[in-house]
Amino acid sequence: MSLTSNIILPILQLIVIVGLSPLVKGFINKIEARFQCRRGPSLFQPYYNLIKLLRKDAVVSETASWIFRATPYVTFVSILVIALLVPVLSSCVPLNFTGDVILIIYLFALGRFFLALSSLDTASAFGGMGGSREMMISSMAEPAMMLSVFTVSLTVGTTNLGNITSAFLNSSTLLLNPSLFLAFAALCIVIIAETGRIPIDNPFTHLELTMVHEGMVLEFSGRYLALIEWASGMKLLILLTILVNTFLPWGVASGLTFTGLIISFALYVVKIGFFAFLIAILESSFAKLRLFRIPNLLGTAFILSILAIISLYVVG
Amino acid sequence: MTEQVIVSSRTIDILAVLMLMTTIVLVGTSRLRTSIWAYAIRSFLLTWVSGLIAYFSGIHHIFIATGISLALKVILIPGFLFYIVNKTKVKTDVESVINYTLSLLISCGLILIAYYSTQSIIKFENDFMGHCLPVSLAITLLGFFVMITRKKAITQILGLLAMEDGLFFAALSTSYGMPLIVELGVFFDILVSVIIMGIYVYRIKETFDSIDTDSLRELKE
Amino acid sequence: MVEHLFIISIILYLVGALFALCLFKWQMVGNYVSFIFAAIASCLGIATAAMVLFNSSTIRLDFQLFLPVIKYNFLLDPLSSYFILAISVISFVASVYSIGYTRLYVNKRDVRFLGFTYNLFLMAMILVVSANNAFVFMIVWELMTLVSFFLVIFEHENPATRKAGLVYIVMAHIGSGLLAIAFFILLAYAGSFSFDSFRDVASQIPAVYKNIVFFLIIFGFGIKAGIFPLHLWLPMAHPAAPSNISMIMSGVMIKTAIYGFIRFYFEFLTPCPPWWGVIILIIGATSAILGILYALMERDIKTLLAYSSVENVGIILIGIGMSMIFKSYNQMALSSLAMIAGLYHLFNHAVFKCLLFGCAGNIYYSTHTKNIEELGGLIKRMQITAPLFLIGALSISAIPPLNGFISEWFIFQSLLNGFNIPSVIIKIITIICGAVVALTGALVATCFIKAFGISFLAIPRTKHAEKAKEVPVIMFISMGLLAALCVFMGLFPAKIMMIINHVNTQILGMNILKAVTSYDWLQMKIVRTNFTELSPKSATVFGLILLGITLGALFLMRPKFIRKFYETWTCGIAPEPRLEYTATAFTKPFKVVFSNLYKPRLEVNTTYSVPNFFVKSIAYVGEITPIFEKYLYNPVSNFVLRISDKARLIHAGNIHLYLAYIFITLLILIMFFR
Repeated sequence: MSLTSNIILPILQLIVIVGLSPLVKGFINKIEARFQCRRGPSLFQPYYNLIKLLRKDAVVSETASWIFRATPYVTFVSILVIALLVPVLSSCVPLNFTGDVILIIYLFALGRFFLALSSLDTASAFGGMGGSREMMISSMAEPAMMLSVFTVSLTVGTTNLGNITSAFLNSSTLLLNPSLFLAFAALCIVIIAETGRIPIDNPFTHLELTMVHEGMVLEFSGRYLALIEWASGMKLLILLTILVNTFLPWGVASGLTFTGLIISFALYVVKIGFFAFLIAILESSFAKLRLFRIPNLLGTAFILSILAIISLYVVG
Repeated sequence: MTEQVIVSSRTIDILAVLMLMTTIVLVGTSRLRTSIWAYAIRSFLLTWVSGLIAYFSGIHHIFIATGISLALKVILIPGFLFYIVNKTKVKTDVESVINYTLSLLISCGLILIAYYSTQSIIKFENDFMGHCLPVSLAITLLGFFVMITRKKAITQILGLLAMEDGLFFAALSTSYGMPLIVELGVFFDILVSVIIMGIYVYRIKETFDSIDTDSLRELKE
Repeated sequence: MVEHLFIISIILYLVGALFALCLFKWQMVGNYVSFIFAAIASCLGIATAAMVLFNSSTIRLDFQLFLPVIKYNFLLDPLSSYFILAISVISFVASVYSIGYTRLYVNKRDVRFLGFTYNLFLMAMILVVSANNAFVFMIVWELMTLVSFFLVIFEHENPATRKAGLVYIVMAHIGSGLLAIAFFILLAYAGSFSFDSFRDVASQIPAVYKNIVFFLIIFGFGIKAGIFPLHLWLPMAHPAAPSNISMIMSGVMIKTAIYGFIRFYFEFLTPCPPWWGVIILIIGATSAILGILYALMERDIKTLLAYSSVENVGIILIGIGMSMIFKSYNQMALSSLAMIAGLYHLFNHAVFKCLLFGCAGNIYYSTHTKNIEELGGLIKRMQITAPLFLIGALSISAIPPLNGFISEWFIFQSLLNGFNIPSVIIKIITIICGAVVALTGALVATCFIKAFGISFLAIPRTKHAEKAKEVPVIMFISMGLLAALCVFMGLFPAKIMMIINHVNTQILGMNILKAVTSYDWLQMKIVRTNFTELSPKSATVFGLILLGITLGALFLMRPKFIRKFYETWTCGIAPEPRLEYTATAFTKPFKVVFSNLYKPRLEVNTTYSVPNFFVKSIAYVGEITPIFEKYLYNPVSNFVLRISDKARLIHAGNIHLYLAYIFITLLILIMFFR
């Protein structure tokens, strides 16, 4: 890897993830509005919201401590680091050497840890409720996530996402493995749970008793809220990117040629758009699950993932 | 093995695993309609597999079985089940004897057993369509498990159908199906039993105002 | 040189113990002197261990005291030095901490006794891991148990403490008894008590006896390590002891049992069959998940930490179990990898658990309560303890870039490598363990969010918490050291692995340092396995760069960003502590999800001032059923009590009768051995 690619690629990758993540949200909102026979807000509404929030001062609770004020930065930066660990346009990943998918999972945990702490920090009962539920959902999702990641890693023999992508690019029959199908299904459920979409959590609600993620970030405002919203948008995009570039890696550039990157970018947008569309369909056609039904769904994901890895071991 | 054989065997494996997933949905869901849909989808996948096997093996009677299966299992039986559900206006929530988390864990264990116990046979078969046998065993076991634990009569029918699917799939994948006459007989049996049980469900509903099989205990006195 | 250092440090511990007794007139001085001696002795211990580890040498010390038959053999090899290092680091910190913490007891209680037993306790632990003779080992093991028992019952006027002490001493002695049997079986083949002779005959013992010894060791050391379901004493005794003692008990005393496991399974009982490793692995996974599930429901902060020790011992055992499995399939490189995972986690746990117990001690010091439901808002009152606790909580939750993450990462890597094992069933077990570790990791995070969030954040819930003040400087200086160690071990894993590699070279005969460390293109030292590589340092550097960019961009966008402070909106009323989320509420979803395990009991009593209309008070009692106590321990203890009731019949109290018993026994013996 030359020095230019070491500088250009990370910047490019950050621009794609940071820049596109509000658009994904806007796209999902738009499609859902269409399903509800509404015109819906503009595709770029999330950008306007972010700019508006960033221009504002913040109101902070008197009871809150420095944890509350540090949380938005910790969350945002941890997601930015993850953005550099994931193959986006090219299968060579900027920070491939610093860590693997396990680091990614635990970096997500870092952001979540601080968010849940700050939810308790303001002494409001809603925050605590959101934090508690978020932790419950993410804990239940963790084993399924880890096992599906294991399945993929064991098929290829590496836990580095970039190496996984390039391995799948090189051999197409490697992907045609039933175990990977199961892992894919499990990962889909996990991603829905992790990003707080319907049927696990409703990202649009502000009704006290139903909110999970929104309850947790209820007390944030201004710049803080902008950072957290942006981070959660990026989290969705990053998880979709992992899904897309691991299981459908076609078109991802293996080198760093200009045309390769352009093609890769176009396909990337199409693939992400497709999954965003699927999420919109899912959200429009399902109701939110009751809180204590969620473990059942995540349990199903766990079974799928454990099945994936066992079938990999037994059948090969 | 040639490239084409690998691809086709992998495709059948993937379909098999998808069938297993629909069966897990049957265990995991709490809605009757979802479970009927799961059955329909599984039957469709099964038909697809049998079509593929018929095509690759060139055995004609599998085509016939495929056609009947398509008509019967994908269209007729699910349609009939939906009809019963609408007619009896049952509460769509499925009730189970044991709670969901536990039943999910148990089904996980059953699948584990299925994979583990067929392991020696698979190695013998040289990885070709390696998922088929364990999956068919797992579907049969899960169907049985659903029959044991569910209270609603319709879910029990679905469990029976899952068992039948598992057996059919096992026969199909290991020995390219049973003789045609046997298969026809089995299909006919299934159809008749579903219809009989459907009527039976309707009668239970009329008598007890619920299709909970627990109320059948009252017949003892 | 090294042996002199070792002997001097032991003597210093003894002198410290004696000083504590001698200076009884001046409690404060005696106290300081004894803890300072302990601190100096532990510094020497660190030096000893470091010298042995870096020279990869083996040093024997043989004494012949008192009785001519028994030799007092000690051995300082890399394995024991690694444990001495861990013990000494923790003892140093705990000794410095104790100087401040024991002010709580001065003039209220017999502090001399504390200083005396404390020094003996540290000395016994050092001797346990360096003993090279079964006889000596049993003596110092018993000394350690006995002295720690006295430390546990230090606050003996509390009946709960006395009960904890009783349970501890009884269980510990059952464990010692089992160990003694194991040693006697080995003695029968080796012909001497020396560990060297045990090593020599390792391959000659028949399989049946090996299996018996294996199970005896599991139970014998398992009780000390606190594995499920032998953990009963641990969540009782650790919280009952003073916090500086809990630091040592949880931080390092339970690790002496891990030392025992490694010594036996990798030296005395080799070669071991794969299923031994599998059993250790399963025990580890069970302890991990059940330990943390019980910690989650706990409201007493020290009990919570004690349960979390059970969980961490489980994780260490997962590493060791994997190592045993790989070793029995002769995959030495992977075995070393798993061993690194286990030993790394061992050191990590010692560091962060000591830190957390220290913070719990600080909380107790300034609020006199251990119940987190009575705390809150401490972050503004104890401004240095709070970040220290946060660092401990983050590293125990395996959050990068702190040290817990590194060992968690190694555990995952070694479990992933389970696919190299030929047996399918073991492969499946390793992968289920992987899922268990993942779930455990997430639950640990929840548990410590609860512990930190409820006790440190928001508004104080009681007067105790409101009046909390920061503790004396000396207490958090020592803990700052631990926090720094957490960060250091997280950022520079290659340094620690170099140390562990010496242990591996000794017990597995495999040097994998070249394979597991290398340099990346930033010329930073990274750790790697056959799957991938990890460079926490570079990741942190990039994180800081990105933080800088973010802050810079935000500053450019709005240079005059201000924060306004208002009270939290609570639907129109002023925020009150009553409105806050409680620890019980925070973990309620888990109680519902895992209700099969917890079997929660709920009782709501409503009293009315006007019947059925005006509610006067609502009492809510919710508790979980301790199933292990109820279904495992109670039947056993009831059985024992019944038997002893029967046995009392022969205790008539008549001296003639007792003489007759002796006489009859004598007759029988004469007949028997005629």
